[in-house]
Amino acid sequence: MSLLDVRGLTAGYGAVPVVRDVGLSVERGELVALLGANGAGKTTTLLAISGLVGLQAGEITLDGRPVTALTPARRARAGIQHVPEDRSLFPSLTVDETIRLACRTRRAPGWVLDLFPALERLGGRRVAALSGGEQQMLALARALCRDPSLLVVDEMSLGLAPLVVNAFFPVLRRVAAERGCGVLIVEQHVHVALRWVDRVHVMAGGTVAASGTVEEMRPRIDELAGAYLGPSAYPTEGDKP
Amino acid sequence: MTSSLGPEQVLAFVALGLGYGALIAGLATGLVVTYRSSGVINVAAGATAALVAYVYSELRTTGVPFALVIGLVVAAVLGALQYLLVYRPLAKAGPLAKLVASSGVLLTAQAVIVLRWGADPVAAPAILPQETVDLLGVSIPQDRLLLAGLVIVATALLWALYRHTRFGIATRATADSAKGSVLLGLSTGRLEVANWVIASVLGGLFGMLAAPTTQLQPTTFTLLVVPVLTAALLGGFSSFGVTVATAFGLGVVNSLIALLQGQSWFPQVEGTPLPGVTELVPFLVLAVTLYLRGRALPDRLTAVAPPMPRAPRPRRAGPAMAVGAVVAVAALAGLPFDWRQALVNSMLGAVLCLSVVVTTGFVGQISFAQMAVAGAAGYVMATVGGDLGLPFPLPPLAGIAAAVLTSLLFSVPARRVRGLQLAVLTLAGGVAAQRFWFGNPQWGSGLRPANVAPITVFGMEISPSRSFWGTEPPSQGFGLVVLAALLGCVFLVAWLRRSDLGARMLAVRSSEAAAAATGVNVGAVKTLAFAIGGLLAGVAGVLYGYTFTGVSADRFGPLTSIAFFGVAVLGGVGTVGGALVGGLLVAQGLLFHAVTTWFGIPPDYQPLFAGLAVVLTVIGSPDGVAVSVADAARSLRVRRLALGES
Repeated sequence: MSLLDVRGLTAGYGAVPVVRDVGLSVERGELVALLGANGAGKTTTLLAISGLVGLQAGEITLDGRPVTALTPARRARAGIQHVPEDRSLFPSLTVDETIRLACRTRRAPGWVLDLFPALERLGGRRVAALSGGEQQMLALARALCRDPSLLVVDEMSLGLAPLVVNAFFPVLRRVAAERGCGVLIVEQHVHVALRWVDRVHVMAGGTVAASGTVEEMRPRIDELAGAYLGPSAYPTEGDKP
Repeated sequence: MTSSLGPEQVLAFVALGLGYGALIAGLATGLVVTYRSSGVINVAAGATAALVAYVYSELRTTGVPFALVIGLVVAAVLGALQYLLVYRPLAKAGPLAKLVASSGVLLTAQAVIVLRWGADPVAAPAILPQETVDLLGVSIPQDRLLLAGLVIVATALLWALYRHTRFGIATRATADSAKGSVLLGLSTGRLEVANWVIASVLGGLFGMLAAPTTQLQPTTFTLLVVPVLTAALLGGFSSFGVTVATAFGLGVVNSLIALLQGQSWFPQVEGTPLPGVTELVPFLVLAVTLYLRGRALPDRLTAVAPPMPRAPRPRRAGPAMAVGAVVAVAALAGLPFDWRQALVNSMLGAVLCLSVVVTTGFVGQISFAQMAVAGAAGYVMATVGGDLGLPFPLPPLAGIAAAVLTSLLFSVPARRVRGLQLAVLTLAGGVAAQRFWFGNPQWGSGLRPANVAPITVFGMEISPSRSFWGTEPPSQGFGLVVLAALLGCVFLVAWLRRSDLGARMLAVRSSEAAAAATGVNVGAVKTLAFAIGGLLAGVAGVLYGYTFTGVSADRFGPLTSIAFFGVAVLGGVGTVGGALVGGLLVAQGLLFHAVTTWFGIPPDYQPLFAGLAVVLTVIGSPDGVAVSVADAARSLRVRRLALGES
């Protein structure tokens, strides 16, 4: 039984479906990437998993328990933590207050502080005053404070320097390995994702077009980039200088 | 009349002002709480507090024990019910819809008070000690000082609650990002209901405590909406400290003005102190402060947050106008007198709603001053036609010109102040205009109405009260004049929406920064919108004057402004059709007349049904009735097409 099992998911805005018949899974301790060109339906799929976009058809189970009927807040309490593309932080709160809200304790748990030692230094600073990288760190820390069974991260690298992004992927790896947490990420930079994840689902035209382990997908990446991902997502041989 | 102005008198009046300030502070802090949690500017806060105070007063006078505790429970229940029944269904609606729902709650609460306790003043039994204390040789009522002390204690507790508890942090977090709170697993619904209960209990408590210091009347607390909003707005709808300090400041200034009004040098009008100064002060404080602070206030208050009601281009406006004109002429000819009057009222209302469509629907400026602008037209017309004796058409033209100028005055702050800030500022400005101008016996008409000379063309009088070709008043001829004016206004607004200027207005509404970046002169577009809105409101004001053969200050008051704005939004604030639907919905309009006639609703209950109708309609159609009807018709067409194809 997978940690997250999505079957026949059809979802969208209003009556118009954006994703159709999506099927994917995430195992405990596994890092899975959802790849695809702009408009492929990656973000909508994540929003449907966390409940922010209503399902028109399909079923989502977490640890074998159906969560389809749960509100977004109940899904979060059931163990799904979603770090959205806009991070949805609380600009007027301090870092300490954000952590206190997430953890129900005055300090973040030791293992979260191990992952993000800078949290202690930033404690009294307002979230609005943090840099982009610090905000992304706080968004991840806030989600991890709830000790989720599934962590869903949308476009972690958006607006961040490659150096900063490269610092976050090992953290996700550790979370998956040490906490047994399943991690599902949406990432536009395919080459970055392939370096860190275990498995890949490629989305195109609102549905999953290909799935497989990184080893299975790596030889096919040029073909997939040409067919589904677009040239900007993965530089093909011809594009390389 | 004249009293001395020594330090003792000043101290005594400052103390009296503390009591008034404490009431403003109690209501304003409640407003901050509800705004933080739900994004609702609760204009009904005063009316709800008044309802609680009435309940308490009745319980005390009938000898029921624990009246204060029961009053607090009633306040808590009212707060929870308001959230669960009104604002929870509107969770995804824009701020306009929530504001209108709040005005519906205000009208409902006010109607309940009048039905249950009547309009006569009620003396509420005191809770706080009534003795005086000697302070620096001045006898000061204890209750005022205690009230002020209690407000300060309550504010300190609130500050601690929202600063140091998880509940408070969660509330602030939800105000920042409801999505973030939900994704964290917080129950935003529970947070919001708890905050509504806190706000309502706070308002109710200070309503009960302050009621004995002033006689209870249905509008006693309701009319505090302007100073309460002023205090909350200057506190940025977030700072309890600044809110309470402003509230006390306004209370003390109000009291000191009362002291100064007793001085011989204070300007007099017909033997009484110049009226309206106490209303002018909050407006000036607000206008100057907002202008100076400009965009330093939170974005949530400066932006008309989406979703704004849709404003589609009118299609087939010409044929629709022709059909409407034929139907209206036939109705004027064939309907009995009461229905004819209701039709005239609806047409008048539609003209005023069109002015809201331009200023709010097209350019996104929430102005609560349209009734004041209409009043300016009515009063100038009355003066030009009456005191100056100038012939038709000079009085209405002068009135409309005055309305345009008044509206342009309101456009000055709109260049720096936007969204809900502007709503509060224009409401305060409207109240100041009503009291300082219309209610002034010298410049306006005081408590009496000012007569308006009827329309006379080539010696023929076209007055609503005159028989027209032998028919019973209201005159069909006057009805035709109103219809012609309405058609002219409809044509203007429909043309505006299709013009380049209309497109620029919608660009400004969507994003001032983006509009400016594409070369749109945002200030000029806003000014033009206010001028056109003023012209339309001026036409409405002139027609009001003719319809009622006079103008009086009470027709252009803050509650009328709020109610009218609500009706315009309910109809559909982004479209010409919405304004016409708004006209149908106005008090004493066609729909109101139909419902009250067919269902035999007694006149006393009509305000209650009007308030409930506002709340229910805004929940059912947050984009406005006209847009909902158009959507339904489009869905039906699509379904028929689909069925035809299959």
